[in-house]
Amino acid sequence: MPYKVLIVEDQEMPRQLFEIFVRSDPRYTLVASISNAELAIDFCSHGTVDLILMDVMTELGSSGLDAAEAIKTRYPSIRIIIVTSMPEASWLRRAREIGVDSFWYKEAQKEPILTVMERTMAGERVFPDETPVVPIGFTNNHDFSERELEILRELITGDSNAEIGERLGIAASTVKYHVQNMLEKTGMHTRTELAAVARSLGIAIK
Amino acid sequence: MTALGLLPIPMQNFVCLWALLLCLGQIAETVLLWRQKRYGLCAATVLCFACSYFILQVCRAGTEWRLHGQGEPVAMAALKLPGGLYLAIFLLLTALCVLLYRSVVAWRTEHVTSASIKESVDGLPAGVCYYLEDGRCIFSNHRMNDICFSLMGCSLQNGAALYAHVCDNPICALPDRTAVSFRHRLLTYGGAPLHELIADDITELYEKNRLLRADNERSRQLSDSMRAYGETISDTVRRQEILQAKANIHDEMNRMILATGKSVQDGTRAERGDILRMWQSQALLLCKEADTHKSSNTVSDLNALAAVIGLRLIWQGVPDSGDPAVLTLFLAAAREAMANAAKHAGASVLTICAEEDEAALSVRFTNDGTPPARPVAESGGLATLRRRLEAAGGRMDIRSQPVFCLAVTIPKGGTPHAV
Repeated sequence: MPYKVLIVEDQEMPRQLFEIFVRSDPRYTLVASISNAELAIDFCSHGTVDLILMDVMTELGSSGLDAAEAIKTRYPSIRIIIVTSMPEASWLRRAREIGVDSFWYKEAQKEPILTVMERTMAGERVFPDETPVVPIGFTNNHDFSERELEILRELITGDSNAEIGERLGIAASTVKYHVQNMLEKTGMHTRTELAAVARSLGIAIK
Repeated sequence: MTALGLLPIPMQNFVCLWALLLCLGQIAETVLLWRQKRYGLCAATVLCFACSYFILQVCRAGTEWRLHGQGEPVAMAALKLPGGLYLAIFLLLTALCVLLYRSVVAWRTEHVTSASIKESVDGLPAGVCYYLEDGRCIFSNHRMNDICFSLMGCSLQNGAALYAHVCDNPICALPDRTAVSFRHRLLTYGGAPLHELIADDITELYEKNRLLRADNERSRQLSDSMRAYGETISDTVRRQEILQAKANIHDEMNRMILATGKSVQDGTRAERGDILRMWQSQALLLCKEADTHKSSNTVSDLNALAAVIGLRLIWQGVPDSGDPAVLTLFLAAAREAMANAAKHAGASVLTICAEEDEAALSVRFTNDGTPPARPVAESGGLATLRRRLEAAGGRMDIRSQPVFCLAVTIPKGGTPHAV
């Protein structure tokens, strides 16, 4: 009995690629390809899904991680593989926390998705050791500390140091210190430039 | 030793002048010591003055004696005393005069007087004013007078009036490009209330505050642009990805054209078959890209879900809006309509009729299932949907007969909500 696979991916090209992979292997059958993660919950409620390939940022701003958490809570037997091209570190961490089965980087991971699907269905949890290395200015995303990445995510909101500090439970001067450190590391001139580049590269997404 | 009366005229005149200078110095010292309330030393100075004055009188008597051959008996007797005695007395009086003068100066440097307080307070950068209950100033400095003139156009006469002028807005920028901050305190002096009004010089702080406000304004503008960027970044990234995908298709087409040309010239049948399949695949991909509609993903998602549920969707118009807020609410309404049609009505067909203008998207959902026997009591999903629609400025209507109909109106330009 082939595993029933649901693809949640809002981009046409990767979605077709996943469809080709799924259809090429007789161990899997495609239930549907959809673009909105929230709808995946409705599919699961009808008991027609064994495995979900779930993008993180999907149609209409629906979060694949939120949907995965809801599905894992209600239907823990359904296997979920998060697939993304964004190197946002918090996604990898959150995916582990909410009980997602596997995590696969679309462009950076050498292991083919079919292998990850096979290992996942065999009961294995497959996670990359770390996020892909993405250059940003004079440095790369791995050179940022956890705290710096946290602040970088908040910078995208456009809030002041005081507001960011209040949300993170630290002083505004500490936020300023970390922002200055990141500017020095990257060689960028303003916090706006830093936030914009980090967001467009997918290093920090809020 | 020669008697004083027998000294030569120039010498006697010198002694007279000396005595006169001593008298003047001692008068001045007496006055200063009196003002310093040092009455003991004051009496000693008066005694010294008396001695000096006596010698001055003796010298005058000596002059009379020389001119007229007679003089007062006491003075004549004193003229017969030895000149060395007078020299010793003079030296003693001079030394005492110098010591007293040094004492007066030392006392002034070691003791604070009201004049020194006034002088020092006048030198302060802050304005100081003490006034009584009726506003009468009992003490103020030059700076406070200048400030009062700058603010009220008159010199400081009434402290209460000045305080009334500044109490609502205690921070004032002055025409001389300085800034002061007023603070008031009520004290008690001799059992009576005494008002203290201080105007602190905050020019530097005021200037820094002004610069900070300018920086904050610039920061706020940057924040606004950052927020706007954050709202559009998803679409921007998506457009970049689509553009990249199209570039890839373009590259692939070029590669295939080259491969086709080569195959036509000297390729095998098998190779030509492979190339044909590649062309078919690319053509299919391009067809799908060309068919992309703003809401096509949402429509196809709903079609896919309907197929799983066992419903058939009949579309009479589809949402044309690219507004995520509108599509999100439409999707929520469609999910609710599909769930109700499948669960409660046992329907097999759900008809979705969408009409859209510049202001709103209106959608009616009807199904071919069994209509409800009673009016539908809104709870659960329907109640939540109504709340969300109405929060976005939209509306929802439910009709149970002759067929169940869910009608929603979703205004454009709202804020997206989670599904």
